[in-house]
Amino acid sequence: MKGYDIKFVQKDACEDDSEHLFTYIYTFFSPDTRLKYVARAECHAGEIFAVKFYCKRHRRSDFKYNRLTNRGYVRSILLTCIHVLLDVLNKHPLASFAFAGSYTVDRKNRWTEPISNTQRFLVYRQFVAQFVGNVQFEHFSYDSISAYLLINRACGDTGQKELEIKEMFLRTYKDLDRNTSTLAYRRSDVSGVSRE
Amino acid sequence: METKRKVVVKGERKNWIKGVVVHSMPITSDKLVGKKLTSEDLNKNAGHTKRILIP
Repeated sequence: MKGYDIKFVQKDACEDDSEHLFTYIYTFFSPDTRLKYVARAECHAGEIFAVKFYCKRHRRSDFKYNRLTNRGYVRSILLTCIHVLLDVLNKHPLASFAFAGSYTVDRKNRWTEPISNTQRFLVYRQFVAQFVGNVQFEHFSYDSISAYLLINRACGDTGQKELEIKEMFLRTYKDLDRNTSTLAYRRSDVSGVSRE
Repeated sequence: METKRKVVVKGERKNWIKGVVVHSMPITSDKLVGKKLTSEDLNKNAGHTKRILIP
């Protein structure tokens, strides 16, 4: 298993007056699946980065975080996301990270997965436990919404930091929209925000 | 020519929702109940393989 080379594309400012400040956008190509992927590290107030990725061919889909490519090589793709995380950590040594395993939508057979303990979340949780220790980060798991937090111990009291992060996400994302994606909580407090 | 399809084991998707469901769920603090993972939890989650890149 190996990760793929990541290419930093741009820092995209977010100007919707929410606590989502900007996004680092990366791309990578998998010679194994012969597909391009886009990885996003969305920075929120307090140096909290929500890391997401999707297959570039699904970029125009509302379900881009929910669809499966069925090409395999998941672990190599996830290892590449760890490289993204390391790149962000180089830029922001105090960064903490959040991710969620979005529910799968099988549009062909018309089935939708429930939100809790999604199959993606279970894979990501196992993967993170294998590659990220608990010296630099405190791990928090939110099984009911398939989300995970890695809180940087350099921030001090991780329990307090967790409360602050939860409050920040509650202020930013009022709704868990089942038709969108990943940490893809639609910002109902900000009008006109497009779906990712 | 008949195409091969992956057969999903019956019951594997028993808690899945029929249809492409489109409805939203308000997030409230009571839903955001997290569990702080201990070293034992992490070892259990990791299974047999460990390749720590970030200590």
